Amino acid sequence: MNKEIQKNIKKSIARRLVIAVVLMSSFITLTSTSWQLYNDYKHDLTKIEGNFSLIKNSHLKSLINSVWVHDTAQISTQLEGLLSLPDMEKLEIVTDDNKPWSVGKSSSEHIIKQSFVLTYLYRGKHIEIGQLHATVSLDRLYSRLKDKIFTILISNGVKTFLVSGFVLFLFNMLVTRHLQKLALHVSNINIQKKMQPLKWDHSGNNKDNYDELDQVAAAINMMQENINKSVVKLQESEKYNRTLFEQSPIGLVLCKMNGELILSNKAYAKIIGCTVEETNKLTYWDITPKKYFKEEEKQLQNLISTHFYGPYEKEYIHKKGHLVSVRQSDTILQQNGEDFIWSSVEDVTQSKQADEQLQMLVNRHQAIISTTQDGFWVTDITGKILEVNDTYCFMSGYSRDELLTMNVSDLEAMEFRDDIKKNIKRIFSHGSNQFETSHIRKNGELIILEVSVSLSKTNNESLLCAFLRDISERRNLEKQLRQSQKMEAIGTLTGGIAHDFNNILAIILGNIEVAKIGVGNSNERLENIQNATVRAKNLVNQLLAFSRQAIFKKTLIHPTPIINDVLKFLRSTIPSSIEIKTKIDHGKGRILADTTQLRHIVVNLCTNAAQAMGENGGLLEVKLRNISKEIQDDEQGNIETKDYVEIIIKDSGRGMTDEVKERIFEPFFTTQSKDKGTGLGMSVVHGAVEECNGSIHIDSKLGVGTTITLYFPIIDFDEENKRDIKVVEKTKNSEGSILFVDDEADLVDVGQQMLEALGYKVETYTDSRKALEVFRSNPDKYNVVITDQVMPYITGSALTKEIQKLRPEIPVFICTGYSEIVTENNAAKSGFLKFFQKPVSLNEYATALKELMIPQTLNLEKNITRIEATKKITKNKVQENSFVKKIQDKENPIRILLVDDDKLLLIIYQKVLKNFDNIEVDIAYDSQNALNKFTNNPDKFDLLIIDYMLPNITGIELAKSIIKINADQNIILWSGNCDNELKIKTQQIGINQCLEKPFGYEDGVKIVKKILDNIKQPKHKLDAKKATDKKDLRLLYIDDEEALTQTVELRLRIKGYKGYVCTTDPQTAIESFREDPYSFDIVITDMNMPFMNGQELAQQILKIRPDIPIFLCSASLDDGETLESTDANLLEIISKPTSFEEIESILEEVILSKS
Amino acid sequence: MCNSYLSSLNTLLQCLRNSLAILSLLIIFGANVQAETLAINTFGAPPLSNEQRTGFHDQLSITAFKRLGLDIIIPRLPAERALINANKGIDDGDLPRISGLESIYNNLIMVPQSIMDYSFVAFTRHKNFKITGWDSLKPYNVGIITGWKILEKNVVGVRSLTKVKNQTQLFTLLQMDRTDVVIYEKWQGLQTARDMGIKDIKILQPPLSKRKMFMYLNKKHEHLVAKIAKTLTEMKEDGTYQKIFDKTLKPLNNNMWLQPEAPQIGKPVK
Repeated sequence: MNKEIQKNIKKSIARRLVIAVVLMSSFITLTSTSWQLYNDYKHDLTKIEGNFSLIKNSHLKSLINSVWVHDTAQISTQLEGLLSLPDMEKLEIVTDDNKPWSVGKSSSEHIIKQSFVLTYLYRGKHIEIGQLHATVSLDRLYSRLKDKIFTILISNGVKTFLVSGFVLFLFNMLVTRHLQKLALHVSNINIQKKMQPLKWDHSGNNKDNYDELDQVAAAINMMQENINKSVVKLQESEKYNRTLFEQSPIGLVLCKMNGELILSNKAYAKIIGCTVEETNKLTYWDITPKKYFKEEEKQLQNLISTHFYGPYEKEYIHKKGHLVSVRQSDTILQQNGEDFIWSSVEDVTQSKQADEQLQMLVNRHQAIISTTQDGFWVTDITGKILEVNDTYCFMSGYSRDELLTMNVSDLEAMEFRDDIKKNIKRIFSHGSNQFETSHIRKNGELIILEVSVSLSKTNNESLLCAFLRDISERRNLEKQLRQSQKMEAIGTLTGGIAHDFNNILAIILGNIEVAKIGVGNSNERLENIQNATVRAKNLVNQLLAFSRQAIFKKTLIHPTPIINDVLKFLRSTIPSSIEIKTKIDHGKGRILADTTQLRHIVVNLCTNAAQAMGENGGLLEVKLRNISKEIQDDEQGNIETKDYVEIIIKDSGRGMTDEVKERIFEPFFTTQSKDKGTGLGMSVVHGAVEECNGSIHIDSKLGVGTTITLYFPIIDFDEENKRDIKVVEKTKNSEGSILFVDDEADLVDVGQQMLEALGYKVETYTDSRKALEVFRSNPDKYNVVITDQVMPYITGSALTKEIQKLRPEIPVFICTGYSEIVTENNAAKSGFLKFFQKPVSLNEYATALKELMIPQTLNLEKNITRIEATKKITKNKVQENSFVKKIQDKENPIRILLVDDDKLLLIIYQKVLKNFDNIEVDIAYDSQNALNKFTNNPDKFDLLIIDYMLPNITGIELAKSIIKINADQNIILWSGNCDNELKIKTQQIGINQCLEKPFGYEDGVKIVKKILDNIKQPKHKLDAKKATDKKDLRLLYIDDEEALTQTVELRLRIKGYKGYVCTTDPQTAIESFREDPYSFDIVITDMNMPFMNGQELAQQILKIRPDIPIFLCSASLDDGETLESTDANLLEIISKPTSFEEIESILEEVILSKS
Repeated sequence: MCNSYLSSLNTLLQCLRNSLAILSLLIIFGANVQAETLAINTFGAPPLSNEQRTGFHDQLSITAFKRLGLDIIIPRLPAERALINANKGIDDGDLPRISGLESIYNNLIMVPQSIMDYSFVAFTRHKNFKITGWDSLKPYNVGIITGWKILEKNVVGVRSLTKVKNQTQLFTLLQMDRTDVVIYEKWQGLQTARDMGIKDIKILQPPLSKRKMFMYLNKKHEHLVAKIAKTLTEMKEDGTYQKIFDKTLKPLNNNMWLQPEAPQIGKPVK
């Protein structure tokens, strides 16, 4: 061993020491030699300097004197003396008279030369009399140094080597041999065996010789002992760790970076269903499902960068093939410079299943809480909110985060706080409680809540779990229900009374009229009785209106002109101290309402407002606009937007108290004195608004004023059309025989008398069964049947049904005091041709029967209450006929170019147009596209339909461009708001027509038909047609007297007139005229009409079309009524026609004048 | 009448004022044109020159320059130094010198009127022979002063030649019989012997050589050369020269058994 150690020693310390000593000594030798030589050199130089100083200080003065007296011999002597100085080679004196004295010779290579100036004090001045140049040779100096260098070097060298040898010897003796022994000792150490102590040869027990080596030996021996102890401990620790590793319930595995498993414990092996030996033959990738490979690669990168990863969950492939869920943590271990992955793995299959079940449970609970319609929260016992669901957040208006910082007391309404304390006490005493309370929403509103609270004690913590149900709506509905029940009670009461009361009134009124026939119209008493009866009738009607059981004629109307008319009317009735401010938007929205009712509503509300402001006056604001409101569909819960006409009536009056506000719609409730108000106004308004499917909102502040907002749903044409009206063709003989059925004997009697008074033959029955029986026995006997609705055994409608089984065409009039089953609106459905509200006047019978008794085959509408709709339909039917003729020309199709930026609308129009076989449709989304299409083939299109509002180039500009190319091109411009200004503008440009844009499929079809009707006509020739027959004249008839208007319309229809429009509303007439001014040939209007008289109407019509003949009918022409303006030749005032024949004569007159 | 008095008084005052002004100007001018002091060095020893400036050359040169309105100082220098200084302009002039030195000392101009004749004579105590030329010295031990060119040139081939630094050493040689003969300028030799108390000294006749001695001025005083020469001539002519000789040199002859020659008035050298 010793030899082996010796052998391994390549460079002994002693040798290195010697080399170091020699090198260092040599260096020192050289350095000291150099230093010595340098010193010698400096010394010699100093000596030379000394010589120079000597010359200067000692010799120079005498030399100067010698030179002064020019004593050549002396000078030479002195110079010779100086030349003897060491290393002095040459001395030379150069005098001012250039006489040099020189001794010696300079032959050396290396010299030092020094010059001295010779000055002499003469006559007080220092005079330079010459210079002494002394030259010293350095050659001898260098020669001496050379001689010295070898001697110094050799002596130092010898000295160095001797010292080195001695040091080496000493080192070997004192250190090296001991080190060798130490190495031998250490190399023989075996930690498994007991170690022998280290002892040096030189040391005995003599402690006096204790040196560093003994100290080393002692330290090594101590170390050996420590190692022995540590080894024992290590072995114990290893055994312990091994046991921990093998017995650990957590899977532990060590694998290489490439995934090769090196070491695993039983738990790990068990996870994958293998033995430890089998496991150690696997790689990590063998037991990792492929789907984890990418993820594992990422994790491996993380592991390398962070040296630790996890815990994360993954799956292993079990020996049996199924997957095992595990939770794994990895860390990097380094051993012998190689990295390993140390993983601890836990089988989490069971805990994961438990977690999933728990999570499922939690999710279920969460879902219950979050989806429940009730609010839910959890608070601690102090009321601090710990958990809250979305429903409560929605209820309260607070966000979840805000609520979690709040206490229940922050939300409680002030008036409930005392109750809350009691309720909380009850919760703690009973474990739960249910009560009602009110919370303040974030926006300050109050919500009424039904709260169910339970005390829950878990984990030494008491929590309050509360479910909160918003019962504000329920309370509101309950309130409404109470109100409606009240109303219903009143309604039922009114209805009950109304029937009998109307019957009574009918008897009275009928008898009066019969009596009047008998005694003449001049009987004042009878007149008084009749007037009182009529007032009573009106009162009953008002009561019925209030309880929504009155019979009104709802039509599709534009509210704007009606409101305008009402306002004009009101201005004259409301005190001038009240300022009326209006803002009426001219929207196109139409509502389904009764014109009179709407007027009534507005008049009532404005009158109330004026009364509220009193004589002091104030500001009355009336606004009308079309709006879109979001409403909730009750069936589906969806929010949908609907269009409404909003009417706002705002006053600056005294306002209302909450009590008044609550009772305002109650009948007979009034804040006025008895003589000023009946207390039915607002009730009627309420009923009327609801009748129109509208709603009414009241906002009032005491001392500030009241704002009443009405919302009426806008009904489009489509919706109107759904209310289809069946036209039943019926035939009627001319015998004029009437079957009159009523269970009230007095009524039967009076009815018979009235009808007979009119000249009809009447058969009366008080028993409907009997009446039916009679009818069955001879169905053709009767021309008309008039029946009551409410009768014992067989009701009026049942009777009608049976009668019409035998004769479907027979006209049946229903005549009822009050019936919930048959109303004016549904009378037609029950087969009734006409609906009469008792009491029926003689005139009503006369008017209705007069038309029916004309022996002609008639096309009649059953439901004549829908006058406006009927007019339109009839008019369209007429136009359709002409259109049908045109579209039959299939060989020559009509080509239309539709231009609109609204793609959806274009698609609808396209669909509309494709319904017609001979129409070819092309579309363009913008002006440029349209222009391109037109320019490519200007003759291609028969018609261009252009939207007014096009982007970049407007419809007008596009039309201009097209007309430039083809002046005869047919162009229709349609706009959402086709006002007069636009119409005039379009006419100026040369556009055929400006039409309101259709807003639905049906509307579209209608307009297209109308357009196509005119398309073939020459441009700018859309004038009144040359009518040759009076029946070709298209009449616009306006009279506020409804009966007369209805009669005229009926007669027109019966007589076969076409294209007429009859209306009671001047505003509707104007709108119809505006829609297509050239669709009428003549206008006949009543002079005296509310809101707009005939003359105003005529002026407006003439503004639109100055060439149309207008006839103003006045009932009192003799009273000196004259026209304010007679600038229009066609405006004529005539005496109001009393019969249809007179109207026909006017039409004939027009024909004659045209011809 | 009165007016004519006043007018006369005014004229008188005016004259007085003018006279005072002129006087003031003369005083100022006189102060400005102070006499230039020149340094005319000499290597001559007594009786030619001494510290008291009473030697023959001293008196002669002082008088001559004084006549030109100039003061002089007379530095006494070694012979070579005196020449060098005059040539370099350290001093303004030098005397007494033989003629022809301007060829060697380029800055010197000779005043062409000799100031005296230099007689190089042989002094002896115990010898008595007739001088027949330089060769007549050959059998004797001769002493001379170093640097005397004429002696160093001519005294050759003598029995022994001792060169000494000065006349004292020279005459000491003679006194102590270290030489038989010493060669030196006559007047200075007489003065030295007198000063040294050598009574038995004698001058062998005739002189070995005679040379006319001149004054030299540095070139910067070239304008004075003619003036000095003229002045010297005038001094010789008006007896001033003789008076000075009589006063300074002549007494030395009394002690001598050999009468020195009287000075000769020479003509300016051209």
